Amino acid sequence: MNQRIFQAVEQLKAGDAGSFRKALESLTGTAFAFAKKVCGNADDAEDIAQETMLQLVPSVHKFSDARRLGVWLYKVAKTRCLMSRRMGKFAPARILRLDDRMPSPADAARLAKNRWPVSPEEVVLRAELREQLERAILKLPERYRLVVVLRDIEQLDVRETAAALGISPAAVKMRLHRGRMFLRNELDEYLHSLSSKDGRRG
Amino acid sequence: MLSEFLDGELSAADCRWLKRHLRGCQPCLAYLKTLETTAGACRKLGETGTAPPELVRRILRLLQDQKFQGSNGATPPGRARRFRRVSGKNRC
Ligand SMILES: [Zn+2]
Repeated sequence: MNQRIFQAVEQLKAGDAGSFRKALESLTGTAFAFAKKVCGNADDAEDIAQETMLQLVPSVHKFSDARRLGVWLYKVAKTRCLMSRRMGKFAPARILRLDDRMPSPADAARLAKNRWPVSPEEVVLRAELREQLERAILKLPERYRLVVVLRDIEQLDVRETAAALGISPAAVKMRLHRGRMFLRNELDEYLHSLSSKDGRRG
Repeated sequence: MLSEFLDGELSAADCRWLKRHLRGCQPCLAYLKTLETTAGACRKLGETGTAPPELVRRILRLLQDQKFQGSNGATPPGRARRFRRVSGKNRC
């Protein structure tokens, strides 16, 4: 589960207005970041975060357990994302393409030499790589995207992800695996194009 | 399988098998490393990002309005559904 949720639950327990505001900032930030990654659009993400908070906050004191609160927050935010129309438009056509891009034995030779010249930190710090990753996430069909965002970005565990999405843990693992491979392949292609450009220049 | 290996979710037997395989299989090992970098980059992506301050202020205001409209601050989840899409930007 996302650390911000644990923080927020602690702040809510404090009971004063200042702590409540901090908790609200953490929870809103979580909903906003989630929605932005899923929808790819800051305006939609603001609407979704706002609607999620208005639904969540009146009952928030009932959750002393951060995991349960988190699952509920993501569940509400996910439903709101699906209701906002922009999300669905990528979905159907790309499922095949995702399947096409599973690694095959033919990739083996290229893979054997494959060393990425970057660490996870660098991917996020280098603007063009970060954009590439964010774009790749948005290219994922939504059923894969939601799993990848919850599991790998928001750091929910398999059971929490399954609960937030209303799917089985087995489905979470399968979609996560495919989603990760897709992102990996997209980054690989990009890094490859960079290094071949460098090669031509040098 | 590689993805589950990264998450530490393989059975002990599968894990041993895969580790043995990886020692002799350069392509799988290279693939695993790039997959690990990808998942790690996603984790880093999640560590950033805060809510726009104006959004938090707007939500605080709307929550106040909600209270004045008769909710006693204890709306059960089922009833909360009546809060339909509130277009925030038009409200300010
Ligand atoms: Zn192998």
